[in-house]
Amino acid sequence: MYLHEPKLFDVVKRQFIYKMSANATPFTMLVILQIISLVLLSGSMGSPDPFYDHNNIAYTINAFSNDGILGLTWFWAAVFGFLLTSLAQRDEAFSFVTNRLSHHLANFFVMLSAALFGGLSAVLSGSIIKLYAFLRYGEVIMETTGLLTAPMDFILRLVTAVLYTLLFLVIAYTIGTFIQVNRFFIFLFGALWMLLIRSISSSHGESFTGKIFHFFAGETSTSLFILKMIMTVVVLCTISITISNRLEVRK
Amino acid sequence: MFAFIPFVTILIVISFFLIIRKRSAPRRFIHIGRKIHIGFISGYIALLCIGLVFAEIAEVKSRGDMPEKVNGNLLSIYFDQIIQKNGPVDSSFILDERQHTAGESLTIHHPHENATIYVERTKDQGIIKEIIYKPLLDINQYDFSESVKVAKPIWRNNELTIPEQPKNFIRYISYHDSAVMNQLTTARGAGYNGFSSGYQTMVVHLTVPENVDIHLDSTDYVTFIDK
Amino acid sequence: MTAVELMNVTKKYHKHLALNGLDVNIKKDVMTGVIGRNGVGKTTMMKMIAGFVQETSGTIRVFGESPFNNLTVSANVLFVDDAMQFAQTMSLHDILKECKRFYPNWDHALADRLVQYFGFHLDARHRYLSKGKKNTFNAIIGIAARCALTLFDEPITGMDAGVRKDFYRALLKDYIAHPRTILLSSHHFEEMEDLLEDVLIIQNGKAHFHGSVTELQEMLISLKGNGEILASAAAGKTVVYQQKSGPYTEWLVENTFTAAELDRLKSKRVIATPVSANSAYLALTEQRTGGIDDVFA
Repeated sequence: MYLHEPKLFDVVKRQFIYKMSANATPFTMLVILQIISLVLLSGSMGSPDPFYDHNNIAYTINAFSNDGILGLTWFWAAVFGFLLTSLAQRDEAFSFVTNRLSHHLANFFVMLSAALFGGLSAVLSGSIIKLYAFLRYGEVIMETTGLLTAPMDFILRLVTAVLYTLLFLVIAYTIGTFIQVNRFFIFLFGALWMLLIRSISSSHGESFTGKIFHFFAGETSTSLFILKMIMTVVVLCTISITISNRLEVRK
Repeated sequence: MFAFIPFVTILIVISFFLIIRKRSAPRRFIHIGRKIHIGFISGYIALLCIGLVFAEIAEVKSRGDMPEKVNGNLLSIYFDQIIQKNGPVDSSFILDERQHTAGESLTIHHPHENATIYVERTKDQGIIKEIIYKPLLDINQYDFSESVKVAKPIWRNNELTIPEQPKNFIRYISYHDSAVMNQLTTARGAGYNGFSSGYQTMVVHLTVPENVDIHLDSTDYVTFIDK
Repeated sequence: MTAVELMNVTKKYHKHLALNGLDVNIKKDVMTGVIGRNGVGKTTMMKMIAGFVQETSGTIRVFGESPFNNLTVSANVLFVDDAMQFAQTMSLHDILKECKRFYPNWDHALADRLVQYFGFHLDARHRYLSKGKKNTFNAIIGIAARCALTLFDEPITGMDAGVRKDFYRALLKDYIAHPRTILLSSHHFEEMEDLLEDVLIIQNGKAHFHGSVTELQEMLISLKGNGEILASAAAGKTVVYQQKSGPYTEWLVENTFTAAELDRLKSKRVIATPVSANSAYLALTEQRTGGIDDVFA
């Protein structure tokens, strides 16, 4: 029996396809979450009951947006990123051909797909809300314009949503990997979390958390934003791969 | 940003339980196979794409009817252009132009105080010119003036009465893509940031011959323009 | 040719020493049984060979490469045990299809026939199979994948007698048709005796015996007769087992007797018989401080 010398790329590809079908449930979960959110129209803000001003004009306000769906998608991204590091996921991967590097790379591509799907569906779900508002009220003010009116804006929104979703996935994945390496990291991350919250409320001027926030959310240059995002993701993934490269499986 | 804190705290708690839980295999009665998942997910994406197409059609179709974004202060336009005489007012703001035969006097009844009256004196004899400018309504910088219903002044035997204005029901329905996604776009910062509105009542601009006596109920809301 | 080489390998889990200086050379294209009592490190050794677990010290070479984090080793080694995990969304049919993509030597037709023969429902979920069924399915993967090195760790746990027999037969048939290196660990040595070529007995984290089944059998000889005569006959030789039943005593003694010596013993009414591989194994791994009876004494 001769030996097979697999290429890393082929193994990653096979693992990726396997992991995608193995993780179909989280994707379906996101669809269900988004549908529930669409049905409940969590995107609507304002005051649906009319109120009067001193000129005797009654106003009804309904401001629709896909804010809620985007938040929900990020929450899902964080949970999914974390789940990808679970013991069961690792055991499932190691039932077939893989090493730790190919396992992480395949996971990364799963996260990339999740980010693409999550970001795309969050952006597109806006159209459903928009359509609902049009059908129900007839006249809707477009504070942000759609694909045909401003195609470039639409693409930029897509890019932003996908990159943020990927960031949340990768952050959760990195935290999960740390915790898989050693359970004591739970306490470390808990403490870190408390510190971040305290830094928001206690510091004068711009807090540390605020600085992190502005590092990403304050960026208006497209190329710089993409660069920052990609660098962060690459750094976090490298950390995950490095710290877990000695991690034993199916002990 | 603060809104995410409870979310993430929940996440931490969930994660903790995920880690310490035992791997159990509850018997489930329904097994969702791979094909069903794929079908469900692609069906959803197809639905979203169809939604996108129809939403775009609806948006393009209704583009002309929508209130427009105002630059600068819409409400000061009448004051600036009629009193300060900064050029003529655009004809689209004029609701009506009427001429009335001047008598010996003119009595103005303005019981509801729901209009602004500008009075200008002229040497021309015999005719009172009346220009009615429509009321202006600005909600969150959008021009809603078209939606305001107007009852025009009533003229009867040298008497001008501004009637009670009809009640208005204004619906402000807006859509914006999530603000966080607009970081890189031209619509940066767009979104619903609370409600603000401004209202300029109807303006009645009268050009009255000098020899006509004007009687007023009250001088409030009446401005005499000096030549 | 050597398929697997372990040189002075130790493995520590925290303070517990699972393997303690293990030296093993496993020949290529040979079916080797890995035998040992519970908790002697059989599974640890196999998981190290599969690259799941890293050695604490020593050197492991699988096909000339260190197996931990090694793609080539992972592609050519399949580790089959009852803890194999597959995604919940996948049916048995899906799992077999995945195997086809991962293992180039995979014989899909054979896997299909085996799955059918053992009465699996292809829509079933792996996680909800009974223990025996799960092990049967995993074993089918092990057989049909035809990896250059296949490790079966306790494959027959939970299988009923009929399925066990079928499994051994299927493994043997496929092995003869496609010779490859197979490691098979089990407690049921007596069932596998006919199947195996080599035996590796592990005890206390060390290789206690490694050789062919015949060598294992010939290592010991069973002597029955009068206790005193046996004592004088076995002088200077290792006695691994003593048992008294009735007037006769049975000793299992290191087989270094010459033909002349055996003839002499025969004349003293000592019956010398060859031992079965299983009794040899049991005798070799017997705790020298006594049996379970001593616990209750």
